Amino acid sequence: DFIRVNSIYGFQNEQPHPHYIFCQQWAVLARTWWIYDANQQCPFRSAYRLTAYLQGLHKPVYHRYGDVGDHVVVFNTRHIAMRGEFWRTYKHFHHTRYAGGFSRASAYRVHEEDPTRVLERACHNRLSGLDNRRTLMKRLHLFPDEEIPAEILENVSGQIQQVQVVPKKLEDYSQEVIDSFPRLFKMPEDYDIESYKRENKLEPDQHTSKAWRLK
Amino acid sequence: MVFLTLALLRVGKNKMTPYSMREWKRVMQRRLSWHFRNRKRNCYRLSLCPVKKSLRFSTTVRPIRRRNINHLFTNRIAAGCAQHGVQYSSFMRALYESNILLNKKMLAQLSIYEPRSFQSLCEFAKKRHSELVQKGLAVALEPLPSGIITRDMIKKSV
Repeated sequence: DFIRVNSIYGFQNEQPHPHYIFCQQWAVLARTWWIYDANQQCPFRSAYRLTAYLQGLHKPVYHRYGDVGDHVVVFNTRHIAMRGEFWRTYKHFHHTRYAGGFSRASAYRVHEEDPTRVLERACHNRLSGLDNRRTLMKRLHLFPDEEIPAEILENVSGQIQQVQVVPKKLEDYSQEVIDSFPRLFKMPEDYDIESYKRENKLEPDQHTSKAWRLK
Repeated sequence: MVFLTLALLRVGKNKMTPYSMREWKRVMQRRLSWHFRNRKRNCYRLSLCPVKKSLRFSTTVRPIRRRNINHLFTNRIAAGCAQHGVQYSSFMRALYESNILLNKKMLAQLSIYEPRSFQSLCEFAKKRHSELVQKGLAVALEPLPSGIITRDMIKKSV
């Protein structure tokens, strides 16, 4: 079965050369489903990669009007990681189009309300300037934890590589490995090691009054 | 626009056409506005200004069109390279330095319609990179000519 491929450049009035029609490969024009694990990943750097797959920039037949983008399924968006003070300083704005309807919220508050919103906004902002942004965002499926519906998991046929290497935490090492690690020096016995865990020693923003500090 | 007779040329140029010749103006307008959006595609009066604008754009937008098509070719080649594990910049550099005179248009076409040829070009780029790395390593591991002392030699002796 050969189907007429009308124009790969999207030019007007371009006549298809006969041999363009006869070398159509079905797999090229299929819409694949990709999966991505957002555990301990930066949302902005992940958005850079995910939007490339949504638009179809990973395909040599890419064209803006060509609708060659793929579906992307992201899970573990609850466990996303942002650098530095971004959880506190990065703001999401919202206006209800009514007078006095402007509000802004820090990323951590938005994340508490809806754990997928931070990554969804990052991808949405990355696709700015495109006519078909809404269509592309509909093809992005976000899940806060590892539970993904079966009908979506069935379709998945590829995985997108993670942006950052997930570091191994102290809890992930077994007690034997920790004990067998060579000790550099021994603390004096009267040295208070646990003082850092006490109240008001963890808080970085000393300029806020105690009532407003995070617990 | 192609004018088959002098009469039609006169009709197109002249705003005051007789009622019997009215349809000719609309036919000629529709030739230019068939690909527009909304009512300016079908309605004569609404398409008067957009058609003039499109004729103006068809000349002023030529360098922008070249730029857009260049970007499109870049994106396509980059996608094709990524499938074979090569970066666009190193790929283009390898071709340039090896005097392979393929322009971006042809490379984009190859990446779509001749995948195996494009793969062989990527393999070529990778092989060239590994050869350069080997050459660089060989230069570093060469024995130094006499009379030159490096910091490494001093540290080793201590």
